[in-house]
Order: sequence, then structure tokens, then C-alpha cells
Amino acid sequence: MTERGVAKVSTETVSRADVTKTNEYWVKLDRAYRIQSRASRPIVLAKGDGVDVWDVEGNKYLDFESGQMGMIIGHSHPAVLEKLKEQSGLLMHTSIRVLNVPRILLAQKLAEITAAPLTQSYFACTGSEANEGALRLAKKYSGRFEVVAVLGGYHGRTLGSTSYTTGFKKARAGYGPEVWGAAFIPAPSCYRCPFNETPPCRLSCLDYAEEVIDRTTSGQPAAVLVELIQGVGGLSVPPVEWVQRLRRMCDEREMLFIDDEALVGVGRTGKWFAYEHFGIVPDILTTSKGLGQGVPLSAVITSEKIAAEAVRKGHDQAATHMGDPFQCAVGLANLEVIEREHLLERTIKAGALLKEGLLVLQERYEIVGDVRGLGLFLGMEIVESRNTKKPAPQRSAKLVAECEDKGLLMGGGRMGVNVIRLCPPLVITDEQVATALGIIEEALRRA
Amino acid sequence: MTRETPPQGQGARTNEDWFERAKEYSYEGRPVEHIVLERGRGIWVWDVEGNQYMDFESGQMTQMCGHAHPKLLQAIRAETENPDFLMQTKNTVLNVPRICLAEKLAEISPGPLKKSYFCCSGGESVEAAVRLAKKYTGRFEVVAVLGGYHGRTLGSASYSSAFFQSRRGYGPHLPGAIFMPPPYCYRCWFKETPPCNLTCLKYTEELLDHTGTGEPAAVLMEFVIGSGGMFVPPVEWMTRLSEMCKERGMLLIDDESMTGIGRTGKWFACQHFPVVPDILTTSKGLGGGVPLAACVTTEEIGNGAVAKGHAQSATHMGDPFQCAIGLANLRIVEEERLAENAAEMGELMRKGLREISERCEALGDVRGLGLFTGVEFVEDRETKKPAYELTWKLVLELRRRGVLIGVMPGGKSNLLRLCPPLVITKEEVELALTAIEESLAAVTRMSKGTSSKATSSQELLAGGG
Repeated sequence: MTERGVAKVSTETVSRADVTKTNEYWVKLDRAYRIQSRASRPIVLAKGDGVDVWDVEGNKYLDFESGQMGMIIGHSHPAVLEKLKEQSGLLMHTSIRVLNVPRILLAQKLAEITAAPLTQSYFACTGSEANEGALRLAKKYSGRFEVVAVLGGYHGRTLGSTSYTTGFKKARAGYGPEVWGAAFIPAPSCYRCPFNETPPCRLSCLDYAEEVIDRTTSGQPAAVLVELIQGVGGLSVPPVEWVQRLRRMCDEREMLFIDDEALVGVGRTGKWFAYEHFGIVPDILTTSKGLGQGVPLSAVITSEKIAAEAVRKGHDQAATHMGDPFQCAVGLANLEVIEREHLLERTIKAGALLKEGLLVLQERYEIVGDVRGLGLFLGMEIVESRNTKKPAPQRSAKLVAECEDKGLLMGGGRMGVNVIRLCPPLVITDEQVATALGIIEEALRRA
Repeated sequence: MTRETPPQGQGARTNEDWFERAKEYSYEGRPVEHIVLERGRGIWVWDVEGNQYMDFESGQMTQMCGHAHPKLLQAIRAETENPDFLMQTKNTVLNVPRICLAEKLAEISPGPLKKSYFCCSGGESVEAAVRLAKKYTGRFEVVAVLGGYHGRTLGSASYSSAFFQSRRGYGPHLPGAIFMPPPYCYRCWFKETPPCNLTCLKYTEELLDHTGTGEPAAVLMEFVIGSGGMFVPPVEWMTRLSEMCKERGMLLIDDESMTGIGRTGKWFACQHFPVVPDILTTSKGLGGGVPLAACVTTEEIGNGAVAKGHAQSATHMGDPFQCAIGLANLRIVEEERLAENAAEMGELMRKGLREISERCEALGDVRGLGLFTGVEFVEDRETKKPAYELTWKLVLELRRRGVLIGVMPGGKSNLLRLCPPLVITKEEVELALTAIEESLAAVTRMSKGTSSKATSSQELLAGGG
């Protein structure tokens, strides 16, 4: 999988003679100048094209993490490169007290691709910020402050999003108190159902959730914050009944349903948004990563009723980059590419092919406990044995590292997580799917 | 205001058309003016109808090099036309621009500040700084300045207090926030005038000892306070606060979201004081319009927190594209000596404003550093009663004359924030001063001064850009 030929960093920005230095050289420099708050593999990437990325030494990889899940239409898409140049020459950024055209057009486009009555948008940079924006909106609208979240969920690392996040073990140690009023309900992880049920089931997990809400909260929290498919928590696809009953619970208790689609939004699952698979419409939708195609851009989308009521109560929400022309022009170009190149259809097809291949591997290799997901949002759970289902985080980390050495970058499989995430850009070809499956099989054979 | 032929196509619509469409698809988290900007160059911006304005807010305080700086555009073009382009990577691998930007920040940051963490916004970088301080010290209380602004995410909003009643309806914020009196000498709560007894800091010590553990994790502050009033603390205040931090083992976090990257005439505002913060955050001006923020600290603190298992990450934690543009931006600030220009033009600005204040009672106080200038308007210099209505009228008049200035809309502020891009020229400063003087004359009864400027600002603006 290794192609030699050194990738060059632009000398307009990195004006250094040492653009051709090795991975090792840069890793050393990184250690000197970066707070090492997330461990890195000694891979220093320098070039991307479609699903392919190259490191500074010219080694080529298939990027099955789509950057950090942002490069939804692939690296260096010409339409995006063109828009980056065009909009930066016009207007990048304005004061938040005036308007700009790309922001208005993007809001209109989002109203078009989301279900009625979701028409009103607020823009920011990251998933965390969008979730903070959504939660503030729900609190202001409802006049309440408790929030129900799902165990294993990940919503960000800012305090108002991390207080409802439980995706990583012991992630709160040493960071002091978080926001109170967070109530956690069990995740619909059917592969490891703690209530020992198998779908179609009685949904004991939601009976338990109602107990938690009635006994540990006011019984009427402001909102439920949920990823319909948990990205860090294991990529389990909940039964349709689970989602629909949760929606009913929200209606009964007048809680707002906030759907965090940071990872799954904008086509990743084969539909514009994941909620479409479950026959519900959330009250508030947040989406980020894939929305900006590498440019920091996130959105909160809600109904006119909720937005108008919150604004009437004096809702105050602002940020430096809350829909800059630059951000929004790129976001809009990105959505247009997804449409023009029929990438939703491509996602369904490529996703089916990849999943099929993974299911074959599951049959062949005992340590592949489960294969799941929707579209090109697929997870592979690594276990010690299929009977005991004992999680094998070390084996999964080793598998990810080996695939990386062979030219395939994947997500997950680190920090004690034993689910490997396979999320290539939606432009992936059948050949690239086959190549990736080959690399995984080779690593599994030696695992 | 001058007019240009409006561009064709979608841009041919009016401001009002677009405003109506905006209302249909977005909700107002902050009131907006009915101006839809479309194009920018230098300190100038144009709306969809071709009206031209001087941008004295630098976008939302980010366009240090001005709008559409040719070298920044060249950098974006070079990046996007480079056959080896890379926008984003997963956050467990590295990229070259991120490393080079971290190295550059270490070079321009004061003292031992050397290790960086990157993200998108000021709110996020403050969150990262506070988390770092908590993890490093093992404590959780944080001291903030009454009137400070650090962001709208919960971990930054919990220490913000710049806006009146802005917490209403948003539920509980974090425990452990202690607010100290601001070093707001123009309106000293303790009725002192510098050089003074620093009673405000004695009061702060009382607060720490009586309402908390006495040893918080950190003091979080803007070395020059921004949204809360644009005031510069006395050097003695800063020095004493820094001593207090050392005595109590608190880290000093300097939020330079607005003041970083040359705005005050030096790379960072803290360089005007004999005090080096333990953690510095900066955002707006760092990315040249691209969302980019940084948290910079010492090797000791960075490594110390990591040894305790510090975990901090985000989707955009130093993407190659973000960092390449940030790096190009810093290079322009350096090569074109924009910090020096900010120092010089800022002096000129304040000198002109003080001259105006000799003829106009309404100017209560003119203050600031570099191109970070605030003018406080009062009804009466004795009582210092804030002149909200006048300030709002002035803003509207200035806008009519084609100058966009930072102030909260709706007449709730008496402070004019004058923060143009650092590329502003002497002629442009004079033009703005003339516009301010004429606007003041239009909205107040101001003694006709000795102003030698014969040409009206409207005529001048017509020739500008």
C-alpha cells in the first residue's frame, strides 16, 4: 500500500526548507510545542485527494475517518477548493451585527433538506458549540434546566456539552464540578443489552429511563439530548421502536428532543439526516463536522415556534464566527456537491458493499463480535470470543495500528474503546472498499 | 456613503430583501442591523446595494490585516492550488502547518509560554485553558473579573459577566466562580484614583479567603478588558495580582481573544505589563477570518497536566488548513509591522479624540492601547451619568456616514469601540475622526472647534477605498 514520492507542503504558508523532513522530525517538534492532550501516532499528513491521504514521507493511506469526520465529500474536492478561493477574495468575515448572503442561503438550504417544521438556523464552528446553542435554546424556551442524556453519548468537550457526555471512561477526573441537572438513561446497545433482552423487546431500557426521570429529576426536564447512533459509544443502531417511544416520552413530558448529528448528519448514513431512518422529527437538530467540509461550521436547526418563543423571552446567543460568509459559502458548496454527485445514493451502495464485506470477515474471524451501522457509518466490535463477548480493547488498538501501517486510517479502537469506526468520504469507489477490506482481513489474520 | 453599481445575480437584491429572507430561516440570538455585507478590502466593506463603509469593528474583531489582504488571499490560493493540499486530518495524527504554527506562537509569546493547543473559538480556548488549570492544580475554583467576557459555552459563560442579566433562563452555571471587582479606574467602586491603595485587590483577597478555599485553581482575566468596558488596568494592579497568584498557587490565565496578534501595539497586551501569564488564550485575530484559537502555556504546566492524564481534543484542533492560514496571517502582521502601525495609529486616534473631547462635553473618557480604543459618553462630566441615547444616535449617524462601529445595538451602551483593521492609514484615521466630529456635531450641541478639516467626511468617504 505504500507509494513513495514526497508530498510537499505549500511553501507560501510553511516557508521552510524542511518541508521534506521525515515523520520523525516533525513528531519531535510537535512534542516540543504542543500540549500532548491527545496521543498521536507518528504519522504527519501532508496531502489529501478524495479518500487518499499521504504523509510527509510520501506514504499513502486510505482515510476511513474522513479527516476528523469532516471531509465528507473527500479531500481536496475541486468545487470546495474553488469556493475557498472565490469567497476569500470577496468577504471572509463580518461583524455579527450585520448580515451576509451566503449565511442566508445556507439557512434556506438547511430548511429545504430538513423535515418540516425545522426551518430556523443558528451557525457556529463546532459540534460542542452547536450543542451548547441547542441546550441554551431549550432551557430558555422551556424555562427549565434539567437535561436527559444517554449513557455512552458524546456531545463535546466544552463544559455545557461535556456535562452530558459519557463516551469516555474517567474523562471527568481532575476537571472539577460540571453542570448539575444532568440525568443519564441507558443506551439502546442491543448487542450488550444490560436488561438481557433481544429486539423485538419490551424496551425495558426505556421503562428504566422513565424511572430515572421520575425519581431523580423534576419529572419534566427541559430536553433529551441524544445521538441516534452513538459515534464514540459504539455505533449501535437503536430499534425504530426505541426512537419512536423516546419521541413520545418527550411529547408527554413536554421535553424537547435534541438530535445531535455531529457525525451522522449531511448524508453519512445514506440520508441527509439520521432521524429520517426512524420516522421521527426532532425539535432541535445539531450538525457539524461534515457540514463545513473541513471548514469549522456547525448548525442548530429548530422550528419557528421554538425559535420565536425563545427570542420573545430574550434569547441571547452569539459567537465570533456565527455564520461568516466564508464558512457558509463553503458549507453551501459542499451540500450542492452532495446533491449534484448523488452522494446519498453512493453512500447507500458503498455502505452496503463495505458492510457485506465486514459481515464476511465476521464469519471468518472469531474476534469480530459485531458489525453494525447505517450507510458509511459503520462499526466493527472486537471481542475476545464471540460467546463471552468480552471486549478486547487492546486487540482492537493493535488492529487499528496494524491497518495504519498497511495504509488504512480508521477511527476508534483507542482509549479503551473496542469498536473500530469505518467512515470513509462518501465519494469512495468500490475498488477502494475492496482494498480496505483486504487490509483489514490481512490484519485480522495475524491478530 | 458612496454607491457602486450593485453586482448582478443574487447580489442584486436589496438589504431589506435579504433581511426578510434571513428572518425566515434564522432566529435572532443577537439583534442585527439591516445591512447585508458582500465584499471587503482593507478597512472597507460594501453591502449588497453597493454602499461603502469603513469597518471599525474589523469584522467581529478578526481582520487584523484588513479584508481580503492580497498576501492572505495568495496564501489561500497557494494552499488550494497546491496539488498536495490537505484540509483536515483525524486528530490522532499530525500535520506540518500545525507544528509550524505552534513553533511560531512559542516565538512570539512572552517568557516561557511555549506549548500550544488549537481549536476554533475564544470560548473553546478559554474552556481548554480552564480545564488545563484545573487538571494541573487539582483545584476547581476560578476567579474572574466582574464585567469580563470569555465566551458563551457553559465553561466560559460561567466566568463571564459583561452583559446584564444574560444568565436569565439558561439554568445553573458552574459552581466555584468567584468574581472580583474590576480595575475600572474611571468609575472606581472604591472611589480611589491611581496611584492608589489598590483597595479593590484587598477586597478580592477578602473574597478568596471568606467565600472560597482561598486557593483557587486560577485567575481568568482579559489583561485589557474588552466587552466589559475597554479599560487598561494600572501596572501596579497587574503586578499585585500576579503576586497574589504566586502566593496562593493560582495560575494566571490571560484571555487575549480581542487584544492578541498586534491589536494593542504589541503581539499581546500582556507585554505592556511586567507580568507573564501562566496560560494565554487568543482567537479572533489569529485566523485572519478563519476560525482558529489557541491556548499557550509553559512546558511545566503542559507536561504536568499531561502527566496527570490531561485529555483535550476537538474536531478542528489544528487542521492543516486552519493553521496554514493562521501562519500566513502572522507573517503578514510581522512583515508589514502591523503591531507598530497599530501603536502609532492608535495614538493618533486617541489624540484626535481627546482634541474632540476638549470641544465636546459628552466625551467622558478616551482610553485604550494601540488600535483598541474606547470612548465613554456621559451626560455630564461631574456625575459621569452614562449617555446611552446619545451614543446610539451617534452610532446611527456614523453608520449613515459610512462608518461601522462596535456597540451593542438598541441603545444599551455608552461605550464606542473603535477597532479598525491594523492596516489602517493616517488618512483613514483622520477621515474617521472627521466623521466622528461631524456626527457629534449633528447629534449634540458641540462648540464649533478649530477643526481645520475643510472637506466634509462624506466627500472624503466618496474617494476612499
